[in-house]
Amino acid sequence: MLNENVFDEPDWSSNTNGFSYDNRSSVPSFDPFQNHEQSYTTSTFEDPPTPSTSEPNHNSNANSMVIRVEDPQKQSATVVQGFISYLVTTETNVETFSSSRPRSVRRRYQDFIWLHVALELEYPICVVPPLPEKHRLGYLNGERFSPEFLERRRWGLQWFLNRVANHPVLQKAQSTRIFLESDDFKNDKRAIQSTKAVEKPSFFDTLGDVLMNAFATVKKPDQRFLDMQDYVDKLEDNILTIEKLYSRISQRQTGLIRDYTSFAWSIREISAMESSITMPLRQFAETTETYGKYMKEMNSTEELLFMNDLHELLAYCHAVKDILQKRDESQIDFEELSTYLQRAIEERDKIANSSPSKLAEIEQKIQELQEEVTRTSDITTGFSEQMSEEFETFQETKTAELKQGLTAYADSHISFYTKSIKLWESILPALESIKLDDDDENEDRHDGEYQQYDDGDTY
Amino acid sequence: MNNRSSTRASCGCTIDRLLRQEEAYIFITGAQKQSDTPAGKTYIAYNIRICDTETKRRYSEFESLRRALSRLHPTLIVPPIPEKHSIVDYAALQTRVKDDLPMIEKRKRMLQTFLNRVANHPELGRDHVFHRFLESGVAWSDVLHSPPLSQLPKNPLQMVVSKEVNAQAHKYNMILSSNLIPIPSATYVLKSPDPRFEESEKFTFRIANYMSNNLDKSQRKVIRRLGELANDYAELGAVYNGFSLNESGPVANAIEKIGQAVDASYTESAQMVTSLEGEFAEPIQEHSQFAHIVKQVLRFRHLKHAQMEMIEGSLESKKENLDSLQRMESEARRLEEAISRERTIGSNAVDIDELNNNHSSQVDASYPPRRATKTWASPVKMINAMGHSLQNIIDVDPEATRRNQIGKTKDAMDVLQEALEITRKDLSGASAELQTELDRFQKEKIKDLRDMLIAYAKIHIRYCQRNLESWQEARTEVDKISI
Repeated sequence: MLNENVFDEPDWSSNTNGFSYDNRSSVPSFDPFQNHEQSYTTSTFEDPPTPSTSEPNHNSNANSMVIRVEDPQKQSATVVQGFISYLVTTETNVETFSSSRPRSVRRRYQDFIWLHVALELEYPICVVPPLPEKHRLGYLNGERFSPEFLERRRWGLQWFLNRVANHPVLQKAQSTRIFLESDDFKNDKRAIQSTKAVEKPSFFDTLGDVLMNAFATVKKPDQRFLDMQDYVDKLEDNILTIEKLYSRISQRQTGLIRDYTSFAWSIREISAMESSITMPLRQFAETTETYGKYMKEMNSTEELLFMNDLHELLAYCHAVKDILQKRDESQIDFEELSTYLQRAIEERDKIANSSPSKLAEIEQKIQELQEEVTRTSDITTGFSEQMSEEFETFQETKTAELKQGLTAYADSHISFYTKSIKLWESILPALESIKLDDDDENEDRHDGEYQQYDDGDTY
Repeated sequence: MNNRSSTRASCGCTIDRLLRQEEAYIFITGAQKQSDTPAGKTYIAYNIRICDTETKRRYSEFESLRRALSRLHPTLIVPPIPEKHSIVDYAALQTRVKDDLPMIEKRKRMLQTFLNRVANHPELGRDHVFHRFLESGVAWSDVLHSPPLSQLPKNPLQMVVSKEVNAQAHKYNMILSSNLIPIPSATYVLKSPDPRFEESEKFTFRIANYMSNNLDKSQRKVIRRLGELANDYAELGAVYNGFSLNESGPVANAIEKIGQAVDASYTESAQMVTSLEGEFAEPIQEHSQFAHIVKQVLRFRHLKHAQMEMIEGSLESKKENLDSLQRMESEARRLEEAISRERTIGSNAVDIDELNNNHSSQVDASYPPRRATKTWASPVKMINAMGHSLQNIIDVDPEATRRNQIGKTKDAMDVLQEALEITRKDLSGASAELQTELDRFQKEKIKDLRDMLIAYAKIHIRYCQRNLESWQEARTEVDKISI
């Protein structure tokens, strides 16, 4: 009968996982990119991925950081609901870290959530990479800690930390350091939470009866940000279209594999009936089945290493759009306040000579407003500058991730076609050696003296 | 074209000479819509060419040719022609089925294969009727209305099929056409079947079933799905191309190249579908049909065997009849002698006629049809027995009738005897020819299977090679992205 074979591990030697690159904001020159390789198993999830044969880190720049997320382990004492922890190993030369040697800690999913929130709070104008979506991993087949689930989550967490590691600002954040280094995580994280500035009371709370226009849009849009918005929108659209199309293709490819397998089965049945060519037919059937198997491997790899890639990129796009929106909002704040200031000034000028008491009041208001306008102006300016940097970081990360994904995509196809060529070529000798009796075509033949094929199975 | 010797002398016509040339191949070079009268219904005429001669035939004429060859050679495996358009075909297509180009192309291919298979057949290739089909300027209806086709009996069981007895085929056919010769029904069970052919019949039945229900269906599914995937790839390629427009630099180039690789997958998949259709799907279809044809040929031999057994049976019962009649005759004669002796001697004259009547009716009474079941088994015998009794009831001159019957029975037995000899020889010849034909066909089938499977593998190799190239190009472009 048909065997559901465990597939051979694909060849991942060229796959890149962790990547670090130079921080453009601190060092003007561009340092060579570092590739670190890691192998991913697609079938056996029990084994932890083997550590890569990483190239020696000859980038002595202070900002290289390589993080590995691996070895999911179930931790529970007697608690019914255990949790999974991951081994997080960091190797970096960021100065604030205690050492540049590899350092490992164990963290659980909740800890990652903490880090994400902490970073968002600490750096509200940075694009903090998104965490792997909870719902997408889903509780597949009811098994909360199934190998597929664990692998996907591990993958997502790795992705998240890679992006943090490559972000020039976030890699140096205090929260990041504590997350990656601390041996007393529980206490350390509580410590910095208390020093975290709680959100400053919004000036608008003090304005009291001032009504904010909730639907305001930016009055003087900056073309840079419009372009960014436009780019990210288009990127999202493209990715969504590819995802939609791919799900259809994936289904059809699965169908095709089934079809090839039934075809192989038919050939096998014929082989039992045609005794003179049983062997070659059987081999042909096997070849066809193996071809289907290769196709399945290609599909899995495409899905895991490319479609996943695109999906993560999509989430990253959402994060970028959020920040773009926040930046816009800060500009709106500034513009609205400026408008108020303007009105207040006009009002003052109007009642300049009429009532002195009111005048004082308005002057006070104008004073406050001017302070706020200056403050929001600074915020917006800072935000805008940082936005450009964030967008650069995003583009670089996107480029690196796309390269990785496209490489894996192309490789999965190349591997499939290369293996298949060998496979189909290997069946040709068996087929070509099927004996035909037309060598004696020109001889005289006597009726009834033809060579009888083996048994009575044939005519 | 093979030049194997055949037991049949060649007709030596132009076509025959052309076919005998080395490397002669029959081509169907085109298909044109035409009609016989300006306002008449149109049909597709296929252009047939061998070397320099050309002729045109339409599908119905191909059908007719095939039917003719099957009737002329019931023990030969006549190659199949593409099937008539089914109702499904009509329903599925938007355009009129007759106008559908891929359908026409497919028919062209398969009709061409048919003609060449016939030409390559050691017996069929020599058939002059086949040659006349290929000849230009020959109206097919003329061929249908002239010998040998005009002389074919309605039922192939009424003619001699084996080539060995060919010399006096005409005379023998007349004997076999006599209504004394039974035609077995399809459900007749052989008393002493030939084990070799029993085996063949079982095997053929199984394989015919399997080919059309399993193999043909499953391989067609693969092809259909590939076609659907090809369209998906075309769409995906376009999406990647659009994607690349939003990017810049090496990323844009890489994505564009990926899009091109996906486009190439579309082109190659579509090409693979076409190749598989022509080099695999159509031969499988042919062999599916072949399996059913072999079934029919085996069934014919089976019926011939049945016919022989029935003739034997018929002969036996006629013999019994004759014996009983002759017994009656001799009884009657003894009685006559006894009476005439008595007449001349004494005065106890008995009414001879009365005596005869009584006696014969007594005699009749003691000669009821024995082995009732077997006798009633054949309508012929039943009528004979009934006639026997009937005649005696209404008979005026039983003696004369009886002598008449004896004569008729003897004549019938002569015919049956001769028919039996012919049929025995024919059956033996036909069986031998059929076995040869089966062996020949088996070889052809193995060769075809081999070619088909090799084609399947090579088509896949080509597909993978071309795809590999374009994906490697894409990979190179992706590598150029610097980070």
